[in-house]
Amino acid sequence: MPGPANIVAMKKVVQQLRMEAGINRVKVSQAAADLQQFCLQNAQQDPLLTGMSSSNNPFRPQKVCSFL
Amino acid sequence: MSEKVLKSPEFSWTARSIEYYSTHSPHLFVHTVDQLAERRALNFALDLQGVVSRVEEKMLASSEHGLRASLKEEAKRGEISLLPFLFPSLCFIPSSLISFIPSNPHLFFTVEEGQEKERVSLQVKLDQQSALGRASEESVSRLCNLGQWNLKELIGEHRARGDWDQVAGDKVLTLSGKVTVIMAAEKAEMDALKKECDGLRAQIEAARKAVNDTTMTAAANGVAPLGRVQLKLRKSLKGHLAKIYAMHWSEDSRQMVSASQDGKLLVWDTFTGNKLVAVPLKSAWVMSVAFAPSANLVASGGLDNICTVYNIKAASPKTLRELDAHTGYLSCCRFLSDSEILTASGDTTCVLWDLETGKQKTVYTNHIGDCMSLALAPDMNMFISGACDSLAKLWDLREGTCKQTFSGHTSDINAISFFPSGNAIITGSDDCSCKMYDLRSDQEVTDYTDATLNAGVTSLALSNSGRLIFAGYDDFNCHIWDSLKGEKVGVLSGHDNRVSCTGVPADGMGVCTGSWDSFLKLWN
Repeated sequence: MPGPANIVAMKKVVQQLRMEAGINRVKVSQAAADLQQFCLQNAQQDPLLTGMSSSNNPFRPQKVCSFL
Repeated sequence: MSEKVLKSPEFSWTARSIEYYSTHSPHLFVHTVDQLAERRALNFALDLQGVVSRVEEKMLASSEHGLRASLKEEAKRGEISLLPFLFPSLCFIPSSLISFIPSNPHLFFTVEEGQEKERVSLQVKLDQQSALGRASEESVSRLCNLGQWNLKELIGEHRARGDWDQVAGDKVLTLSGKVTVIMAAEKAEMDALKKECDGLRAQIEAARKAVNDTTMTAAANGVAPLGRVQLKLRKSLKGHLAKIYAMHWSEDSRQMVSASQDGKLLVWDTFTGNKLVAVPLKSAWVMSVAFAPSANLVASGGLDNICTVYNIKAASPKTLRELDAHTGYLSCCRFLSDSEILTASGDTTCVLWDLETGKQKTVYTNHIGDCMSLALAPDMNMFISGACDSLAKLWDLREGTCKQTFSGHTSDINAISFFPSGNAIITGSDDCSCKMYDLRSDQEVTDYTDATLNAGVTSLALSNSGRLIFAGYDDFNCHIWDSLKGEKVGVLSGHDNRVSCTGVPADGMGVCTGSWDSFLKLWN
């Protein structure tokens, strides 16, 4: 069973593949190293990693205020 | 298509042949183009691998393709090779095909037994064009001459319909179905294009392999493990009356908008838990919601195919724009600013809209399945989309072109997000896995799967450093993954139904999960 009968559509597919084939690719080891570096450099600025104190926590359950 | 010159002492003629088959009644169609030959009574026999049939109406029966045939004209012999050439058959009932040689196009069809005696001409309609075809008579297999049509204009797919002429009396036979018109000469071009396609795909795979010198998880061996990540439930936001389908944080990391199929958008103050604004929706079938960076506008859309933008700073929420051009449901929307918004749709396209004019600025076409999710790059020059064709695509926002395509998932991609550095993307799919693709290596670098997780991923969000992936699943939980080591490091449990949406605010101070149980929960 032949694929798309539409030659115009097929030409577009080929054109897209040509474009995607032409890009430069970086080694995965390099990409991995960069991602790791980013994570580790920003770890201290990531409150979900570092945790936070109750007083800094914007979502802490509201305490009941009472006037003394 | 093959062309062979057959020489005989008396005359020479060329026979161009095309084989075509309907599944029920395969036929070899042979047409002679030499006029001298045509003036003669073409009563020749075709010897097909020992099966000799007389030719009438230039039609013969064969039983398989790829066979050698010899044409005998009276005592003269010639040989033609038949190239296998499979046409798609129509779903006409009776079955039929369209085959064309440029000079003499015919519609071939068969009628049912008992109808052989019907002597009628056939009125054939292809899309809006209609013409009377003279059909051969008195046999199960019929040929209807379509020579009056300009076939070059008809290339492609059409709806076709044939009606028997009224002369037949009260017997009306209607044939209709899908017809694919392929000019025989184009098949060669199509084959060449397919070959180029296959070659390019192989080239891309080889280039990816060439840079695949390690895996992300192997490279992360030296990274200290996180240990168990235990986040506590800080707030449960009650207010919606039906399934929550989407939520989005405001850039102030305090307000958040949620959408539910109870027909409302709710804007929340997550610090106090109070509802700030309620936006009633025209259509309750909402699938997506977005907060503009300015916090002046929110947008939503769903099965109505429309993206509606609301001004929530007005005294009561006012509809600013209805962006109506998609031909499929709106699955995702994201503001670039108060004047531009990006949408993803079940019609397989993404669109960039100008909010001042309400018109489409750019249409991004390349997916072959419903687009389910999109995410903007941190630098706002690119965006990514995930679709039901199981592919993720990287787009140049201004050029409108697809730059890279990422495959690997085996089912719909429901959620997609950029890694904060902008160099990698994370996807979540119905195939129960999340994957990380690196943009510069152009390939999958990590697969987040767990044998015990058999539920599809509905949504995902990353913590500010990118180290934690919060993925919402159909199993009512939001599981937490270590993005570098590929390990599950925690879970947010508490919902009583599917987690449909997940979001981390810009300041990274928490995670919000929304669920079909109608609650939103805040964790940190």
